[in-house]
Amino acid sequence: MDEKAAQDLLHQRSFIGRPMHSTLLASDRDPEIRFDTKKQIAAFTNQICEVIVGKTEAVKLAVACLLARGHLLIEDIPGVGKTTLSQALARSLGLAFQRIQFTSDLLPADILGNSIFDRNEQRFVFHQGPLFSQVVLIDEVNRATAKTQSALLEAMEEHQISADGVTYELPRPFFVIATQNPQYQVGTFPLPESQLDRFLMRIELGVPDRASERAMLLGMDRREMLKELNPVFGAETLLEIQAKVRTIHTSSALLDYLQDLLDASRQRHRSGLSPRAGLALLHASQAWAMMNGRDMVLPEDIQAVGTAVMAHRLGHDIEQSGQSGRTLAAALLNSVPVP
Amino acid sequence: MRQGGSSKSSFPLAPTRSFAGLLFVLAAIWYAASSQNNAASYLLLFALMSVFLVSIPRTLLNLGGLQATAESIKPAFAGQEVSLPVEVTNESRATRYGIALTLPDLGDAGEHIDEIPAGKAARTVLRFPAATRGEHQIGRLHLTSVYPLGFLQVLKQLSTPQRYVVYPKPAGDQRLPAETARSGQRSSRRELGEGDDFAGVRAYVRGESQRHIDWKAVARGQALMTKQFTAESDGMLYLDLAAVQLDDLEARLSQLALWVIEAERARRPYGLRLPAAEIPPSLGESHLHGCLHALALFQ
Amino acid sequence: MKTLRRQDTRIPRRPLLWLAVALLFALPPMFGTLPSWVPLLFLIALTAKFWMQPKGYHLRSLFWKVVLVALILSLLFFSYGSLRGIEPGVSLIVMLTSVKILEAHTAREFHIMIMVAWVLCLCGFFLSQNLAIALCLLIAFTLLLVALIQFHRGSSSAFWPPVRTAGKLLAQAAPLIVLLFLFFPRFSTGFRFQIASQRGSSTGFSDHLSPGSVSSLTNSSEVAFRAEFPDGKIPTLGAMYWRGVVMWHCEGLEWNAPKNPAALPKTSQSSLRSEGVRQWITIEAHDARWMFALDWPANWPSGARLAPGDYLWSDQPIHKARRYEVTSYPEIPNNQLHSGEREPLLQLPAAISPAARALVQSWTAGKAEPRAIVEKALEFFRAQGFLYSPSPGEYGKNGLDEFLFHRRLGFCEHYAASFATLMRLAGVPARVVTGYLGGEYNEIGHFFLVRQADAHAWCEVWFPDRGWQRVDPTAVVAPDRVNLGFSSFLERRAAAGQLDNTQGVLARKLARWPIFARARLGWQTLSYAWDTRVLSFDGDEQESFFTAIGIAGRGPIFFIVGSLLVAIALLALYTGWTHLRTRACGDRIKRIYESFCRKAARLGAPRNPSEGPLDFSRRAMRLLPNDSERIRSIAEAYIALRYAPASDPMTLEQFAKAVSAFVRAS
Repeated sequence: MDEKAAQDLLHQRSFIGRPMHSTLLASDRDPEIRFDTKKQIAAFTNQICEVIVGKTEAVKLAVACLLARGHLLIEDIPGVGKTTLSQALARSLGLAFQRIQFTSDLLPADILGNSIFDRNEQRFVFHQGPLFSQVVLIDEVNRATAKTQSALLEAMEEHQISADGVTYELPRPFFVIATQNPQYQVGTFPLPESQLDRFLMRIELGVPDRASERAMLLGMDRREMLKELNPVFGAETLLEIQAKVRTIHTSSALLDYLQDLLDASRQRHRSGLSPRAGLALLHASQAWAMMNGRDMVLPEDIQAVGTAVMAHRLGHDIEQSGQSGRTLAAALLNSVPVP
Repeated sequence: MRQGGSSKSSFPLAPTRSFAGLLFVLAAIWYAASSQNNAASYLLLFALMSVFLVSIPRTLLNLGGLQATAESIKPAFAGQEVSLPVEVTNESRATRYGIALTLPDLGDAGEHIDEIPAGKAARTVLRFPAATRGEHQIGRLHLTSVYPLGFLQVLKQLSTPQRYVVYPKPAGDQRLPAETARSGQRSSRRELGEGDDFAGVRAYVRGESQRHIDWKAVARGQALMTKQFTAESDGMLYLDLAAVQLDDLEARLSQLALWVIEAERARRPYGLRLPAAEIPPSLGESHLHGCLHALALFQ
Repeated sequence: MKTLRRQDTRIPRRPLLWLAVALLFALPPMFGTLPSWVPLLFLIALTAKFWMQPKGYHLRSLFWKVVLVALILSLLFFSYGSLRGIEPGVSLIVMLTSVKILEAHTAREFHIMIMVAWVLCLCGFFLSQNLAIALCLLIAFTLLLVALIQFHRGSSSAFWPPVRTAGKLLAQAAPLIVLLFLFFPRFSTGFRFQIASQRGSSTGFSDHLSPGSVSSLTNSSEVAFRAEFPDGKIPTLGAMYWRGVVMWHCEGLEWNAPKNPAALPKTSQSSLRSEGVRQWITIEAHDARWMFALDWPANWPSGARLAPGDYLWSDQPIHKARRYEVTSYPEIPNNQLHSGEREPLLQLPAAISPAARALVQSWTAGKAEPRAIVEKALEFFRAQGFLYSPSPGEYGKNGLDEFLFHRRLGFCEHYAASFATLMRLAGVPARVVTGYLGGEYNEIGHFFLVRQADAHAWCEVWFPDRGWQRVDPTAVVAPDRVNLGFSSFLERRAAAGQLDNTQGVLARKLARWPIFARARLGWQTLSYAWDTRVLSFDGDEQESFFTAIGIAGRGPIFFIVGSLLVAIALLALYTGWTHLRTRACGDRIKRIYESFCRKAARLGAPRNPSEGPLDFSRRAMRLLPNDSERIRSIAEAYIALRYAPASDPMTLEQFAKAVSAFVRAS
């Protein structure tokens, strides 16, 4: 696929939208519509689960992360389906997809874009980097130097890129899936602690269980399957759903619980959860509640997304506690009483 | 994963050793006061008695509204210490003082929390030795308090359904066994992507690093091409219980545990093969714990 | 929230500090009553402990412990001659406590030290029971509580909270203390251990009058007794002669009282012509048997008798403060003097100088009336330059002559003794009375405080027509002493520059400041109340108290059980109240939900504190399939009420109903 074709595809796909959805989502409080949204999301999730066999939980978390307008970090060994997952997400949404392999010699310009002198027009033309896409898969994010990582994380946060004094808006929706190998490999540059929490969630895919692996071995080639995936809903609809996620009700009792969690983390750990982490937890649980067809967040929603949201934010306490972020997050969820 | 403390009634109030001392002192003062008909001594006797009586409700209520939650226990290797993090939450509206935590089923492990303000929680870690490999139960958790005067002890018994896993003690030969490749697979494969050896060029895909673009070819007017490099990579490592040449089962498990740790440290994907189960080769923290867990529970 | 691992069993420093301060407050009763090396060694042990504790030293070796104890025993034995009696006993306890302080090392021993300190408080009460000591020991007691509380609070280092807790404990205990004090039966265990009497010999009053025996008391501000006039009839200060002992036996300037006087029969009050003055007198312990009353007592308390000479005599030595009521009349009822009685009243020592005889003969010349003789004798004291002084100096063997004809400087005992001797020489029956004159009026507590310094001696002479009449020769020499009281008299003297005791002057000037005067009066009142209301409340008083409120005559078991039951009831009330006050609270929805959770737990599906309502309801429905419908609707209502955007108020009532139905269901 050459460059132009890809560009065309991007434009084409971003305007594939079914008007039906936008009208359906117009009314907020109609339970039937909620149900429909739930069904839509469920269909979307199921489609991805067909490709990524035996990883329902991780897929659901990834979808929740997408719906909550967050970015996803997948920490796992190679070959467990990270790329497949992100491609499946992109295709099921009908979104443009880019994959960037991070290496130690990658420069910020390599991902953001270069201004190249065009001989025909006798001027510099900004060639957009691979980041100008809707779903971006960044492989081995911790292989790049801190400089490149920072450029990426900033772009993720700001949703825009500044180059040569010009600000370029990134497309919307914009969803980054970064993968990283476990920290302790040689030649990695661990993501800076402060920037880790730009990722809404960190999940692990893990090796599939035996049955799933067998199904995978017997079934179609994953790459073939990806090609056959049809968009369930388009970018437009996704943006609407994302907007709707933020309207899911959070009662004061729930906020109490959320704050208890934050307090407990601050009490127990040298660096507890930041206010941004609190917001992340809130948005993720709102997305989770919506995926379960509810118009209110329950403590269960927080607990469901809690480990994925909190683990990488607590992980840098490892030297102190000797426990991984996942363990700490799970301990937090297990010990803070639901008020 | 989730453990709560549900209080069970057990004998809630018991005299401590110093209670006997108090009785003795009270008896002595009574005897002295009555034999001398000394009103001031009587006053002392009654003051002591009354203060003791008044302290009873305080002791009795000192554990009121306290909830202890045992958190998940990090697995430990046999011979090490198991740490049980416990969070004690004070749900009452009064500050609680001088709370001791003990695990009556697990020896004399004990911790002391001096003060928990109302509505707050305190954390402590109970440590006890991990004796043998396998999965064990914590059993009972006792909250006790003798505050304020130490003559009576109030007890709250909580049951912790929590289980903890003790991994086999890693021991044996540190050198990893020779690779046992699966049949039909190359014992060594070359992995494309990074490395030093130039392997060839292929068409550039958007999103790839521009660093590897074959700019010379671009200059020649050709399409964008990416240079490719390869690196040598080790094959899969299977750790097999049956292959360990030791007599004692425990020693063999210890050897496997050591190898699992060494392989993880060396970043070599490894699998584990036990008579009943097989864990496919992988790497990472969860894989490591999965393997050690399997070894711990091996019957 | 600090957690501490109790691995080192060493006593934390702060509780130890509290304990040490408490022990310091337990010391004051020991100074002055025990040999001073006892409390000093105790102090040294305490100081040494603070030096040793941070370094981890303590008395370990059994050998040294034994040596120390043996040393202490022998020291005590040499100092007292015996180990029996209360003071050697207390000394022993104090010394053993010192050893224990040096030895105590572990946290457990801290409790032992606290108990020993309580026993020390008890010992303090054996040595002295006055209000100042009681307050000291109260502070010591409170500090011991603070030490215990601090010990159990562990490492929290705040200063005030344990003090506040101890104060609260004491305040809450106060009603119980009062209850027990009033109603807890006072047994008398048959056996009493002997209190070695070492008092009385040094202070106060004696049954022997010699030059200097009264003036030696002038510097003692110790309280002799306090008196109240319940009917409000207060005699003038000059007429306030508190009668102590009557001396019959004359040795010139020395007089003696009988060792064990007989008892007079009770007289009927009808024979008395005037109205009596009722007094309540609280006498301090003096270990002898005299009791005081205004001139002249006719109605005396039980346990005492009226001795010949019309003074009160206790049946038992007064070892502790005692309160009694007595009525006095301005005249002695019995005016008869039998022939057998007259002779001892004229008894004289063998050696009377001719000069004295000549002096008396100059008065008796011409068959003078006894009244005239008295007048002449008083005129002699008034006119011949006699001076009144609290420190007249020593009088030798021939003291009477030296006093009468040479130095003419004396205190009340000189005047009383010489006057009575001269009267006997003149053939007028006379006797010397010792006691107290006047007292200090406390306008807060409305009582008179009589100190040892108010001690006085005067004479009584027999007139055939009027009977015994009081004659106070001191009044002739120093009328202010009688009319103003002794302390005012001294102040006036000091103001006139007749005393050069500057220190005393300063102290008196300070004492005249209104604030100090007020504080002093308040303190005296408190002290009086302590003595009369608390210390004197013994088994008999308790019996009369029971009679007064109509529950007398029941066995001690009734009172023990009764007072303990009342105490327990009060405690139960307090417990319930505290529980309600401190228990975890939440809004109504939460409370209802909690009762649902409790019921579910009883049914076998306990909720984890960290379990959300949806998870719990699912699990509970699985565990309790019979109730699954109910649980589902309760959970739905709860979720709607607590987490949904806006809930219908009706739902709350339905929820409450559903939960109560569930809780009630068996």
